[in-house]
Amino acid sequence: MTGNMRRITPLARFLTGAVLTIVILTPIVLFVLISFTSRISVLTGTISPKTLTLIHYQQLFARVDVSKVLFDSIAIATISSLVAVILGLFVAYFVSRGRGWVPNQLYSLALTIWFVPSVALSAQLYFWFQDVGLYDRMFGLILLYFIVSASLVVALLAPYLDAIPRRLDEAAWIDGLRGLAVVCRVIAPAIVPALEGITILAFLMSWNELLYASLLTDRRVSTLPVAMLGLTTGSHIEWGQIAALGTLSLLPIPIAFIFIVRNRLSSFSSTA
Amino acid sequence: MKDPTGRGVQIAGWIFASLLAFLLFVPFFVTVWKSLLSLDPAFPTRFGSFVGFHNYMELFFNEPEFSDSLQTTGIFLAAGLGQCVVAFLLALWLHRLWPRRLPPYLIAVLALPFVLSPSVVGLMGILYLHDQVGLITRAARDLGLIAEATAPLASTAGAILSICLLDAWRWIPITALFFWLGFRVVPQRETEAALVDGISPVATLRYLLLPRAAAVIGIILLIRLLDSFRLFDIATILTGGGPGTSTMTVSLYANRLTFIQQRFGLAAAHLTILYFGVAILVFPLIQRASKFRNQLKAGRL
Repeated sequence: MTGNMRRITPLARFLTGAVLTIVILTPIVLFVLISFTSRISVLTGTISPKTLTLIHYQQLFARVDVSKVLFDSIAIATISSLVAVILGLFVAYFVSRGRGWVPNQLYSLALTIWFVPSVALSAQLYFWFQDVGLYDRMFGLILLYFIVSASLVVALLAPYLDAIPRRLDEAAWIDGLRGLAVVCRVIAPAIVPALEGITILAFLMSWNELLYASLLTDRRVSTLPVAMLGLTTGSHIEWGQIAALGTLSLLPIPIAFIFIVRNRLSSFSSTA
Repeated sequence: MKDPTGRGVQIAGWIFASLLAFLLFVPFFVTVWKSLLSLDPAFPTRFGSFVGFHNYMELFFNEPEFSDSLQTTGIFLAAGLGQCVVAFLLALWLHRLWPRRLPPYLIAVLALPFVLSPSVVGLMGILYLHDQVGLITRAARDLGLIAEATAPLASTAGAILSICLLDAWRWIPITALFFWLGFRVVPQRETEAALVDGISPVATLRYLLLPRAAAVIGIILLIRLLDSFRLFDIATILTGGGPGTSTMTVSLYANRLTFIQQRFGLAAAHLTILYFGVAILVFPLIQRASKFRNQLKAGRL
């Protein structure tokens, strides 16, 4: 029986991997492909290297100020996620190592902010943002995304720090390091892979967020999901442009992927 | 050793704690207060006056859209549970094939739909299922599977099913990945011992995997249900709540009351109910997460 198992397992692994890959990747690949294919060749099913075209992108750029949307999205997501990770790291250390009532409750608060439906906060935020002049300003969205992302950082990092032995802190303590210096020089270097992953998650969270962005911006600021929503309203749906804008919004994923793979490979080679 | 955190870390922690408390509690109390006022522009004479539970009565008895939105969200919650069952079975299968390590390639593939923006998932839905241009719609018509004049998004059942399908595509792979990670808390030598002793896979699952991974499984279920509860992006992009109000979830309905109809009192009452609905899911989640952290701190995992 075990011999039988040994023969079956590689085949089962291969089939499982293949089925999952096909089911997950096909819709994405087709989506990207459609953005480079003229309408008529999609409908007649003749997609080949010869039929590739940039016409949808040209039309999209003529209709929407894509460079501005991209700039806003990149600036908002980058700034909010970087600040969130830096501050969130200290807060997570406070939550994990601090004593008393506040650190424990802070963890619950971070989880709650992360899981309350955005719509429940959005109405009040909309009025506040209008009152204090943050409405339709990049800074307003950055501030909001920073708070939500930092909660995510705390929620994910605190358990991670919990699992790090206290001896590490104690050694730093004996070496004369205190507070922020312990975090910067001992804890942070020990969890670089986790920090990278969480930074990417926080970036994608701001990059993908639709509800706050659609309610709290108007003409001056626009992010990608809002621009996507703009393309779907109206009587005539330009599917090529939809695919083109969607494809543009996928760009950070391969970049993040390459970044992770390269860093992991270089860390393997350095340890070897 | 005294409190190891130090002044700088404590200040950061306190500032952030007060920021979060402000952002969470002030809107909550303002919303509860507003839900007791008449803030409907259609009745200017009593605008701003205290009306007690009138808004709640309105919602329950005179606003059919409210109960529709509850029903719709109920359907999506059930769909979320169904997705969890499928993801659990998938995770068991993956655990059987790869007990210790998944190939990195497979991890990347399983995580991919989840890092995609829900808005893009909605756009994919349009591209494949739209009445006129959808590829699947056209293919189904050409093959004679659906009548010429119909489309998936034009009927209530079709629209709900389409959203469920997209949501499942987005969530099942990552949920399965998390379940698989949860199973890993059971040391391999124990599952192997069970195999050697000839214990059936069902019994291994029932007496070894389930009890040990119960904490993680509970957390994953709650996270998944919370996201079903606040479903917004995919429905907004794909159907906008339609046709009619058939895919209008509680989130979309809150949005409509506040920003389209501008009946702020009713909207506040609806949001208050929403807060309590979320609390039912969030409090157990917080409890479990804290317990999980205590186990981590004690080094028992």
